[in-house]
Amino acid sequence: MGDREEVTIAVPAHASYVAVLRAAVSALASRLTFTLDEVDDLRIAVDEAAALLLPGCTQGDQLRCRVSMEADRIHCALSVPVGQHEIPTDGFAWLVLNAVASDVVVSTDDDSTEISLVRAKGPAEPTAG
Amino acid sequence: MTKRVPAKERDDEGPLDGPAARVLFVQLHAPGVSEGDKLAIRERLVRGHLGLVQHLARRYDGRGEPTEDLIQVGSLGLLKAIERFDLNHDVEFVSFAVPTVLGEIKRHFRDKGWSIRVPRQVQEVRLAVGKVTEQLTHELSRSPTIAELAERLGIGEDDVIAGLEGAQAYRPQPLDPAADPEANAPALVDVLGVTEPQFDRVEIRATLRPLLEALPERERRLLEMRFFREMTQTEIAGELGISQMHVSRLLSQTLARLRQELDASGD
Repeated sequence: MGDREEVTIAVPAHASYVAVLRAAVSALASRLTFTLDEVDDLRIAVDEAAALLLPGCTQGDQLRCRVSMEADRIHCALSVPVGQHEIPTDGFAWLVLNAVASDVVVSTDDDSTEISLVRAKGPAEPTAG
Repeated sequence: MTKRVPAKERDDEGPLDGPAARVLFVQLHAPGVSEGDKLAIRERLVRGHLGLVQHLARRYDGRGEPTEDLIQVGSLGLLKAIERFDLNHDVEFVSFAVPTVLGEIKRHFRDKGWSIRVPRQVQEVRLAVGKVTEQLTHELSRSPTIAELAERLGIGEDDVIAGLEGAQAYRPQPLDPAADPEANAPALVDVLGVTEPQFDRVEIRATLRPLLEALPERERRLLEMRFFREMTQTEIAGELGISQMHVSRLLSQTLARLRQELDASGD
């Protein structure tokens, strides 16, 4: 697909590296001429997703972020090599994530857990019911 | 992790879940509710969602604003959300409140930042970064780090990086056609008529920021009260517990000092 480009970044699965992901995702979003508010939402979404994923990680794990860009939206999939990771969906992080991004999906198997989210241009469309 | 609180206490202090909030909103909008009851219900709703506001405010840590201030601003957003929430919407209050609270925090950074923080437009940050880079290079006798720039500007490291990126992205086209003899198009200098009037203000604001930061706490508060909260000298005098004459004297001294420093840095 010519109109969909992908960037993957992996950092140590530690809170201090989340800023690197944030900065990278912001830079990618600005290429799509996202507004500052939209970039802000995306940064918060990445923050929250990372905050949900990191607690299960151990030294040496990598936090991966696969970003795919289309003309009017960014799709981010953050994952950690933690199998059957239970992501709490009753806390603020989950709530906020769903308020600033749409199509938030958690998938987990025996080897890894992924949170994927979408931020499209325009006002956030909350998906939480 | 949810903090467990005794049921009795939870009734009027702790976090509210969706159904509990809904019940309160039904009560709030019921016909014939007294103003006193409305106030109590709103207060309960505010207290029940303060944790959310704190969580959101912390997402803006390291951007040069005290978290407590952001919690204040976020609480204002929470109040607005409580006012505007319509039970007919098929969403829970919290989902409705998050964008409102975030919106209020963002607006705080954007509009009211003059005394606290350089506006975040990449262009403006770039100007500020340029200025402060010069100052710091001089002070440190070496090139400053991102962290040092961020600290001096009172903005986050991410924002400094964005400002540096901006410096690349916004590299100006040559204005003078002599720079590009092949070009047939009219020179930019002929197309662009006027200087954007905001430019001066941007530069002044960018320069003013570190100067404001260098002011003693009381003087800075004074300026903020006078020009940001638009309080009268008498009101300020009342709040600071000093005479109006004293306020007047302090204001003119502080402004004179700023003007002087601004002139000195604007060469």
